[in-house]
Amino acid sequence: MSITLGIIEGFREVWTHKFRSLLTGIGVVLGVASLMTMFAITNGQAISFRKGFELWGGVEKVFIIDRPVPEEQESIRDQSPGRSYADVIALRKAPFIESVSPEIRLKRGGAIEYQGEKFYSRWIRGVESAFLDVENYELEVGRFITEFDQQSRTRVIVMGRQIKEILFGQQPEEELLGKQVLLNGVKFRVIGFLKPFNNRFKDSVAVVPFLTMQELFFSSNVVKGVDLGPIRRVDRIIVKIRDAELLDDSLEQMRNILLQTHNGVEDFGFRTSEGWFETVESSVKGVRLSGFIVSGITLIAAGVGITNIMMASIRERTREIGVRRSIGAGQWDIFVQICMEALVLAALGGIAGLGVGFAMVDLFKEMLSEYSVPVLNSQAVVISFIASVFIGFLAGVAPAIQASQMKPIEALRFE
Amino acid sequence: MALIEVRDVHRVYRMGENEVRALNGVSLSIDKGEYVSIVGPSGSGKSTLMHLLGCLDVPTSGEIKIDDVVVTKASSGKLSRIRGQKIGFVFQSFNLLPKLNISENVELPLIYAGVKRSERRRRVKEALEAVGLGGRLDHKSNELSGGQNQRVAIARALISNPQLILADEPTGALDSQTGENILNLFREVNGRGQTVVLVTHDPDIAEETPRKITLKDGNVLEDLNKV
Repeated sequence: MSITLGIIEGFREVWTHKFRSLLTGIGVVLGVASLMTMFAITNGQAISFRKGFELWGGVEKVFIIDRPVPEEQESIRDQSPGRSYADVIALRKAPFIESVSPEIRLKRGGAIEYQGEKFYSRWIRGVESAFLDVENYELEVGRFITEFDQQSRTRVIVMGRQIKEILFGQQPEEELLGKQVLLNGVKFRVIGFLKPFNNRFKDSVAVVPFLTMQELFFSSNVVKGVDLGPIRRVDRIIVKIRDAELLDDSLEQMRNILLQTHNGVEDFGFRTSEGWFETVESSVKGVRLSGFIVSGITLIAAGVGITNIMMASIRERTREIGVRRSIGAGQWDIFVQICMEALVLAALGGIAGLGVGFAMVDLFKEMLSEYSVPVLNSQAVVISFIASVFIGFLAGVAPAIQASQMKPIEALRFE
Repeated sequence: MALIEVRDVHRVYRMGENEVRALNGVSLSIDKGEYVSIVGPSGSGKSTLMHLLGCLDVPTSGEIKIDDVVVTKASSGKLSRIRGQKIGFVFQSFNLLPKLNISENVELPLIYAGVKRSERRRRVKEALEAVGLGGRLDHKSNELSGGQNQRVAIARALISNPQLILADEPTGALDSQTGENILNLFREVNGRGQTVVLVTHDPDIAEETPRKITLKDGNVLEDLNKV
């Protein structure tokens, strides 16, 4: 019997036993639907994670952080000036480095006020123009902080969408340029707004010129009634390297430069996102694998159900098999017939499972919209369907072999 | 020329501890174009012999040749092909598949023989017309009478134009008038040159065939050729 005819016979048999087929098929429906949903959810997680990672700055973004000096350098620890603007100037000359962004921030936080509306944040920063490049921000309206602003210590401020909405509500941003706001009581002029990321943390940023902040808020350091003079501190130095592939070489270059500016004292280190990236990637893989296993077990259980029903079915049809053998059907013909029947049953379950899967993915899109939206790709749909067909084939093999091995005369005499 | 040659065939069934000797050294030969009945009381081994002739079963010992092929040594696949091409079965209980309509039932042997669809359609129509059921191609077997069902079964047996028709109590489930019609059909088939072997326990039916082989206790008791 040809495969095509086997499939037609399979449909006929499933149709004859509608209710039994429905019950048996439910397992496949659930298996395929869960496989598909799992694909979509983990895919969505991976996509949103990678997007978040890109937003954050990707592998190219490196923080220069403080580290305790090695033991053998304890005695010369005081030789190092610590993290300073000299580091920034030196790093900017390095060929592997694209841009360097120094930051200072108000230690006890700051408040921005406009006509009674107030926004408080610990993340109001003094930055230079490299900030945009390193932090992946783009300007939506107005202009950003320039070298002129640094030199003239202009009192200008650029802010993100979150702060703008708190201070100004829904007013168009174009009309807000030039407005005066108060930063810790000092008047600042709004010169620009950043493009929103639709991320609460990324959008509640406000920046002013680095040197303006330094002069305004760090010009004196009064300890026990004695002014020790201006603080030349740099809170953070963030570096964007040119090529993520050359991360190790770039770090080596940065280390050499910083050893120079720190007088040979290694009181600094680097924080890269490489490890973070790998951790999350591997946890996405882990979630995906466990999803596979759960759906796989469901599908195997469904397959066992099909095998079971097919075993009952061939027993019930022993005489039919005998008749078919007596009029010329070979063992292969019987094998194909039974195997195709199981396959048709599973494939019908698979198609229904795709339908249920689409519905479930939609449901999860609603439920997970705050986190990571499930994303279904055609590959997931195809793989889920093929899995059902494959399970059907596997489930059919044992009954098909048993049916094809029946002795014609015994099958024919079976009551 | 011999179509069937049976030489010293034994068939022993094991039923737990007991051995049942269904056939005990049967030898016979049937020529092409013969019309033969095999008779005997129940337990005489006539059904067993028919199953062996039909390649549905293999003997415990001995040799059977059909159309010069030693079927006792043939593989399962080869036996399937012989059943499909050279032999047509007619059973007492018709053995039609209830889920299929009658033309699909008649078509089955051609499907297994790998005949093309268009040709299958044509031959099924001809075969059912030949047994007088040309107007009922789409009926299911449960919509037909016993006699009509048996005619469908005969059409199915004849569809691949086999040399040998084996009928096991073909009139057993039918009233005498219908049975008579069926026997006429066999006579017609034999008249066209096909070999017909009829297994029956009814002596009246056996009287109608030119040759009558009587079995008893697994042996040939009498082989009577009336021609």
